[in-house]
Amino acid sequence: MRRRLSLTCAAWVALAAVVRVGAVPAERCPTVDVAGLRSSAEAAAAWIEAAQADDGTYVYEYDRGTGEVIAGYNVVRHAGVTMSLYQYAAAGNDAILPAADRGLDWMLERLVRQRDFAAFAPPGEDAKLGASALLLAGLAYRRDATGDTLYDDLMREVGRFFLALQRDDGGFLAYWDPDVAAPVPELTSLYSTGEAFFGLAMLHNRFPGEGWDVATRRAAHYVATDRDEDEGQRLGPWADQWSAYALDEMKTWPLTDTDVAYARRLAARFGFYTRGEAQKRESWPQRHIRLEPARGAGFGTVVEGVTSLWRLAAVEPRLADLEAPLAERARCSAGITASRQLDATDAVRWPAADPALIDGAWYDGDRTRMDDQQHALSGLIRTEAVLTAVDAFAAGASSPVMEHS
Amino acid sequence: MNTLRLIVFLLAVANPFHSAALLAPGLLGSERGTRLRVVGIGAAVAAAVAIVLALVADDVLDALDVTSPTFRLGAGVVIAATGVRSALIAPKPWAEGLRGGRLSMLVPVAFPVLFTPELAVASVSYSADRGTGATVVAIAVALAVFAGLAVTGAGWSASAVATPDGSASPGARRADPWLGAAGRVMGALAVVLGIALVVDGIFDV
Repeated sequence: MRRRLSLTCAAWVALAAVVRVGAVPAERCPTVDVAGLRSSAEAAAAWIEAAQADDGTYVYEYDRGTGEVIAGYNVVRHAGVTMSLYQYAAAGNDAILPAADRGLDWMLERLVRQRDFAAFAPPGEDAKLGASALLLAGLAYRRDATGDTLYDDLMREVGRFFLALQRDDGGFLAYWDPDVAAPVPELTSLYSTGEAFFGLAMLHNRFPGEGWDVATRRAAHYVATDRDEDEGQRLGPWADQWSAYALDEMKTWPLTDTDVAYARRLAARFGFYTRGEAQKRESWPQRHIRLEPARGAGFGTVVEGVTSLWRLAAVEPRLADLEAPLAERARCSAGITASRQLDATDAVRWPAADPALIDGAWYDGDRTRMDDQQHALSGLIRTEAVLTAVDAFAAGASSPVMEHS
Repeated sequence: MNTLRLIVFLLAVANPFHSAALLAPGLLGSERGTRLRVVGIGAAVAAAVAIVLALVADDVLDALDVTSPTFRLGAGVVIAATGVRSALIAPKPWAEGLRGGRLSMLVPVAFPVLFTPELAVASVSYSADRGTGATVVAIAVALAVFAGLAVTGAGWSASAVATPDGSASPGARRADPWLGAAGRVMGALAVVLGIALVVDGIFDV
């Protein structure tokens, strides 16, 4: 009996070890507070500002090993980075507005106007739905930050561009060909549908009564029901932070049951990614089991998604059970993000690099791309409301639900 | 409803049929009172340990540094793996030391037959997810069912294979076929339940 007992104990220990290492390693969430978030966001915004050229463009990609700027540019990411600067300004950091406006001016010089709409399209290129949607989002945050209504009509023009590309099922074509003044048939994008959905929702909230909610609801239904399958995301929902932003904008409309069910699935997806990222380690064997840590752009979108859905759960009774776990995931994901950011003291490790392009950045290997800073910055900004609300609740406030900007 | 469902889950995880099949042959020939004492105390000890785990489930998660969905995922892996074992491998009874040995109610009855890895992780996971009270009730019911099955199962086995002088024949070292078959079915149910927990752990916030 003693031998059998020993074998049984050994089997228990082996099973526990395998499960611990393979399935449930510790989730490490570096501590971050509001001051830490602000400091990290400030450094990220400073990186973007330092990476901006006089014409308003940004360093697209940078190699710290060689100190070289990698050739290439992406207009959607330009619009996204500029949007993140306006988000930062809307969070009370007006000093970033000149840089954001330089980024905006570069886009305004590249507008194409046809029929009754305007779209962002560099010369010789199709107008992209996604780039135009992020231009619109940037304009909306600029309006929130400054109260300036200068670009209200442009926002409506860009909104009409979305309507020109929206299909009967609520989805969107992704490109407009200015040469033939027509949409590029059948081409859609996994990314731009959520971006346009977000843009339309922002339009309705800034200009209520103009009917933007009709197209927004059609987009919401499409995203919640058919988008993932149409875009080949068989294990949906795709982790679409833009749709999470849009659902946050729609939180008081109110949402349909279909929208709520989608928000719940989306929250689960972002939660799973957060937990998985918290389990990653640089050391063996986790590095081989769970792969490398996600890049700043990738995990930054998770922080954006979690924080957006937390805002929704805080006011939507049908998602109230998610408020606390989403707050926990938001704190964790922001803590991970802040902990991976480089600072000025790291710069000495790469003598060929420009220290200003090390400090405040998230590197993937030796390279960083401008959207690494964009998504991380946006996520950090949006986490501040989560921590403030949760900390206030812990300090005795009657409810963690508060006004979320 | 929550408690009823949990009782079914814990019955599948604790698999009292499999446990009874492991112990019943070893209890052959012993007095009914002895069987009750050995099985009853063993089940009570196993239940007590599982209930303690359920009561401190949140502390266990904190100590392991994992969230409840992640623990649920791991619990599902354990429950599915041990369910496969119960479903596919015939129980090899613990025959030695069960007829009134002073510590037999602890080893092997309480441990390792009743307090198993799957019962341990289920106690923590269900308590964290579905409430401690319902989990405690479910644990108690599952192990009470085991105690009843082990005592009566041993009785059935004894009547089926006992020799005229009351001692067990060599054939009595096999588990009652009915218990073994039911244990396999419960093992298969545990596999399904384990996979469901893994999926639930993945698709949770």
